[in-house]
Amino acid sequence: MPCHFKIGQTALCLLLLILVVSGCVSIRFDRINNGAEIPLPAAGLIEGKTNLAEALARYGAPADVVDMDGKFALLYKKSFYQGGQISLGIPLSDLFFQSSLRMEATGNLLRHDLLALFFTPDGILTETKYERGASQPFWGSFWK
Amino acid sequence: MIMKRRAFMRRFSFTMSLLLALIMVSGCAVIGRGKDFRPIEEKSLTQVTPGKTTAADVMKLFGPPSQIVKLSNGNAYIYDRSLSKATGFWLILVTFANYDTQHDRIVFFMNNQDLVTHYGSSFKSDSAAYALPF
Repeated sequence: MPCHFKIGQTALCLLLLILVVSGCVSIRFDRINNGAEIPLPAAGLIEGKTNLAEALARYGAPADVVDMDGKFALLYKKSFYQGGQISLGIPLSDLFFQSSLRMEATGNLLRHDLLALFFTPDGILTETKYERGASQPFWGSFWK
Repeated sequence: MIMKRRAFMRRFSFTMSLLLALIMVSGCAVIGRGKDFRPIEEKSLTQVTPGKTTAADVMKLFGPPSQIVKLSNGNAYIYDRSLSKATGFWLILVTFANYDTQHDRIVFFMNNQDLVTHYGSSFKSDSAAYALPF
């Protein structure tokens, strides 16, 4: 039964390694979602024809209403944040030296889904703009 | 002698594996809930009739709005409340955190006579969820 001894040794080594590096290395992953999914602009939204009541019935209450010198816009927003952090530090100041060695790498990406509906003062839709940021790839968007 | 040694090794392996497993899962898990509360109820919307309900009626039903936007031919009253749910796991080396915030919103459009002309509502706070960040 020599394998029992190997397992015990491996476990001991792993345990020691974890205890030694646990104060020095840390990894963090964050995700923050704010807002509900924004539906794609529907075919029923016709510029010059659709009115405010129809837009509100389809999309509900907007996050913002913006006055534009007579015209106005409804803004629907959703934000999606992803972040990560890796830090590596050796607290030498606790041992011999005055300074410590510390390396840290962080990265975060905030993407937005936005829908803007522009209306005349009488409440007729004049323009629709939509952008779906949350569907963009994480790495591709981050390094772009 | 050999049997004794084997028994000791078996116990040692078991103890070390158990200790390792305990250390690996040590840490903590946190869940949190945050509410930005305003007394806006979906059922109160049944009492709102465009062309009849006034701004005063709206404020009697829902209280003062979170935001008022001045428009060229009236105002927009925006009511907003939110529910956030947070989930976090702190393991030895790795931390995972997830926050989800969802909103309940009502927007009333008033004309220059302070009568409601249109309104829109979205009640999504119930969809806020505890989750992992992947």
